[in-house]
Formats: sequence, C-alpha cells, structure tokens
Amino acid sequence: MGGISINLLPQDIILQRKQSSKLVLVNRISVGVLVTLVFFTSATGALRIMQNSELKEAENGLAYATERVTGLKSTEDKTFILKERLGLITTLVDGDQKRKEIFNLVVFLTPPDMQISEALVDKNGQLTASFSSPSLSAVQTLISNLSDKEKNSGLVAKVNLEGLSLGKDSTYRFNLKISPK
Amino acid sequence: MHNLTEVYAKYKLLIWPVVSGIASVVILVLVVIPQLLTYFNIRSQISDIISRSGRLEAKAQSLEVIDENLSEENLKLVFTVLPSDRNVPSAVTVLQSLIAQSGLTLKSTSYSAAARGASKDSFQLNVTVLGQISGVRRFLISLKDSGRVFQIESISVRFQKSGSQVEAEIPITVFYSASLGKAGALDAEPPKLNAGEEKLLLDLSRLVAPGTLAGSGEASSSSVPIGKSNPFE
Repeated sequence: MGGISINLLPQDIILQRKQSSKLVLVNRISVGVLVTLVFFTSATGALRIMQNSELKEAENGLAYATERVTGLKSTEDKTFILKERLGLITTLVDGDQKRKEIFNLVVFLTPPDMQISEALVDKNGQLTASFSSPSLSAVQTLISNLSDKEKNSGLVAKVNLEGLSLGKDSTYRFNLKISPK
Repeated sequence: MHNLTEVYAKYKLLIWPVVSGIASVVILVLVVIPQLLTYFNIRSQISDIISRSGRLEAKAQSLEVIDENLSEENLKLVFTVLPSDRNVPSAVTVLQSLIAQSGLTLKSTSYSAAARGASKDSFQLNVTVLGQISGVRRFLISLKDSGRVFQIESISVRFQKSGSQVEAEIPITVFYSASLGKAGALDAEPPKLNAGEEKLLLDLSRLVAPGTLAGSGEASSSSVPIGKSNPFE
C-alpha cells in the first residue's frame, strides 16, 4: 500500500529551504577545497624542511670529501708530474731509433772482408756510405742482404748503388745510399 | 546597508566559491607551485652533490693508496732522467762513462744550444769519438739505456787509414723539461700510472744508480749547490 504524502508548506518556504541546502553544500565544498589546499601547502612546506636537512647533510659530505682530496693535493700533483714526465720520456726516448737501427744494420751486414770508409746517417735516417771491397761477390752479398726483408728486419726501403769502380789496387770502391722505411 | 544585504542575498550562492577559488589560486601560485619547483630543483642539486661527493671520495681513496715515499723516489728517478734544468755536467758525465764503457776514446765534445724552433727543451752535445766500429755500435745501443734522455741527430763515421780505427762524429740532443705541470681541477680524474708507465719506471730504476738520483723537482734541485747549470754559457 503506497502512502500518501501531502506537503502543505507554502512554495516560498520550500524554495528557500532548497536554496539554503544548496548554499550549505556549496559552502562545504568551498571550505573542503580550501582545507585540502592548506593541507597540501603544509605538506609541501614540511617536505621542504626535510629536504633542507637532507641538503645540509649532502653539503657536509661534500665538504668532507673536498677536504680529503685537498689534503691529498701534493700526492696528486706528484703523481701528475710523474705521469707527465714519463709520457715525455716515452715520446723522446725512441725518436732516434731509426737512425741507430739503420747504422747498426749496415755495420752488422757488412761482410768481414769489406771495409766501410765513410758512413753518414742523416736526420731522416738515410745512410750514405762508401765501401771498399776486394771482391765483387762481397758487394753482391751486402746488397742482397740489405735488400732481403728478413735480413734487414724490414728497416730498408731502398738501396742505391752509386759509382762502382775498380781501382789499380784491385779493390772495388762504391757508394751506397740506403733509405729507411 | 540595505543594498549590501540585497547583494548578499542575490549572490550568496557565488560568494563562497569565488572567495575560496581566488584564495586557492593565490595559494597555488604564490606558495605551492614555487615550493614544488624549489623542491625539484633542490632534489637535483642534492643528487648532484651526492654524486660529486662520491667521485671525490673515490678520488681520495685512490690517492690514499699511493705510497708517498715511493712517489718521491719515482719523482727523483724521472727528474734524474729528464731534469728540470739543463744539468750539462751530468749529461757530459753520463756520456763520458758510456763512451768509456763502449771501448771508445772521447776526442772532443762541444756544446751548442737547441736549434731554433725546437719544440722541446734541449741542448746539443757534439761528440767526436775514436775506436772500433763495434764500439760505436755499442755506444749507440747503450745511449738508450743511459740515465738521461739522449737523441742522436746524425752519425758520421770515417775510417782512419791506419787500420780498423774509426772516427765518429755524433751530434747528440740532450733533453730536459723545465715545465712542471700541476694537477687539474678538484673534480678531475686522479692521475694513475698505466702498465706501460709502470714498466718504464721499472726500466729506469734499473738504469739509474740510486746514488745518482736527483732531488725531486725544482725546490730540491735548487737547494744543492752544483755550480752553473750550463758551464758553456
């Protein structure tokens, strides 16, 4: 059985009540928004305060580490100088390697019965030498040795024979120009 | 007053939302957003500081491992091989001893300054020696294993008419390095010797007699009264 509801209140009052309940709702929502915002603001403020202490801690850590490194500055400088000098020595030490090697190679490969009268190794490692030999076979041995990649250790790029002559004393005289690789 | 009541009655539904809206915007713009922006800024600042601290701690640890005394000894060694000044007497002494050890006779030595435009600090000693060709070879080989950095500019060998004796003129560049580098910035990587450099140090320590070690750096070398660094000047 459905009940019968009769509202005998005047229309004005009904409208006023509706408006007033609407106003209460709107006011509650507004206050709610404001309270939420204030809460949010407080939360961010608290976060910042916590963060400040974290920042201070990190800065203290950095200051300590900086102090430790600064205290070891002399060790760092010494190691740096040591490294720098060793690098310099490494670059300088083998600068004349080619000149020494080409000279030693020619002296080493010269047959015992052949004599070097004069030898000059220039800055580029090019060797110019005058030889005297009692036999032509020794000349041939020297040139083939100098041209042989295995015997010349890959040091020689070109061998030029210049002015081969036979003297009155039956001695062959010649010049060699040896270019390094 | 009557007017105000009327206005309030008319807009009472809007007043609270508008006031709270304006207050919310003001709080957001003036407080919350700047706070949040600062928060993220400081967050990245903290992480930067922490990572920098970590790097510096690691650097300090790797520097603490370095043996200070060994470092000093190694410095003395490299300053003997590559001094910070010309130290001509030491170079001449080393050369003389190498020449004698190679079985050669020193005929003459002359000094000349480095060529113009030379990129490295150096001077030249023109050495003329007499002896066997094998002695010249030995001398050239021994130069690499000497206690100074020598570089041969050229080799001129002339056989004497009387027998197997040769006369060799060898201009030798002797290097030194006046520059004393300084370690980089605080944050720079700590200098560390690599395997090649460690090996070179070991080789040098075998070549240089402990008694002939130089003082480390300018300070100690200048405190020893050794006379003029360049007696030819």
